[in-house]
Amino acid sequence: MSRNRKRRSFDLERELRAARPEPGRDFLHALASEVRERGHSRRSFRLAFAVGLTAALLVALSAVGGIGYAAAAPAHAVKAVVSAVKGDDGVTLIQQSPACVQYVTHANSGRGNLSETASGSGSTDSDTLINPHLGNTALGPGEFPTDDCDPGNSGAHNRGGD
Amino acid sequence: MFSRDPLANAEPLIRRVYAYVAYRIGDGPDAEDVTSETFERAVRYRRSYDSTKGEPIEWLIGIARRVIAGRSGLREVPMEELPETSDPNPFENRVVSAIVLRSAVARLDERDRELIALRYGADLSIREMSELLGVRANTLEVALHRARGRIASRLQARSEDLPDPGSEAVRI
Repeated sequence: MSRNRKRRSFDLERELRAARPEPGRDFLHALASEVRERGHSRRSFRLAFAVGLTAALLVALSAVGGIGYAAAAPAHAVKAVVSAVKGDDGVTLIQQSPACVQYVTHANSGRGNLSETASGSGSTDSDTLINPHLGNTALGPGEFPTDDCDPGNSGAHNRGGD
Repeated sequence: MFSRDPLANAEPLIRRVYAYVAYRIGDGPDAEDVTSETFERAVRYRRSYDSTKGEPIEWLIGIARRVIAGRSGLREVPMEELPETSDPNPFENRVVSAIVLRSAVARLDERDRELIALRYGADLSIREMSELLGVRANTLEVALHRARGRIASRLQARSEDLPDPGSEAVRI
C-alpha cells in the first residue's frame, strides 16, 4: 500500500494549478464590490459633469438669444448661398421700410396731398413743399421727395441698415 | 475614444492577482494587503490602461510586481511548520499537499518563484509572460522547466508520500 502510494504519478503542473492560493471569500467580495462602486461613482460623476456643463452652456446661450440665432443660421446660410449663386451684388433696396411709410404719411397729410396735384402745373400749396432732404428746394407738383426713403446722406440706395 | 474598463469583471482578476501574490510572498494577510493595494492603484490609474498593450491581467500583474518590489521583509512559509502528510483523509491530504507545494515554491529563489507565480498563480500564458518580462518565450520555457525540477526535488526530498527523486513518475 505504502509502496503503491509512493509510486503514484505526480503531475507537478496540475498540482501547482490545483494548489493555487485562493483569497478569502469575504476579502474577495469586499474588494470586488469596492472596485465596482468606485468605478461606478467615477462614471456617474463624469456623466453628471457633462450633463451639467451642457445645461449651463444652453442657459447661457439662450439668455443672449444664441439658440434662436443658431437655429436661424442654416436659413441664413442657404440664403447667402442662393444669393451668391444668383449673382446679386448684395445690395438690398428697401421700398417699404417703416421709415418710408411714416415719411410718406407725414408728407401727404401735413403738407397737402401730392397725388392731387400729380399732373397739375398750377401753383398750389403743394408747390411749396419743402424737401426735407434737399433743404429749401421747392418741389414741383408730382415730384415725390425720394424714391428710396433715403434720409439724404447715404446716396441713392438704402443699404438696409436703417 | 472610450477604451474598455479593465476592471469591469473584477472577481476573476482578484483571484488571479491574489494567487500570483501569494505564490510570491506567501498566503495570508500580506498577500491580501498587496492585492488590495494593487487594485487601489488600478482603480486610481484605470485610465492609463491601454488595451492594445495587453490584457487587463497583464496590466494588473505589472502593478502587483511594483507593489511587491516596494515592500520589504515579506514572510515566507517555513518548512518546519508544515504538518505531516501521513493522514489517510483524502481531503486533508490534498490540503496538506497544497501547503507542502506552496512551501516548496516559497523556498525557490526569487527568479524561479516569480516564474511559477506568473505561470500557475496568475495563469498567464508563455506569450503573456514573455511580453511582461521582456524575455523570449523559449528562454522562459526552459527556465520554467528548471524551476519545476527544483520544486520536484524539494518535494521528493521532504516527503515520503511522493515518488523517489529522479523517478520517471514525476512529471514536471
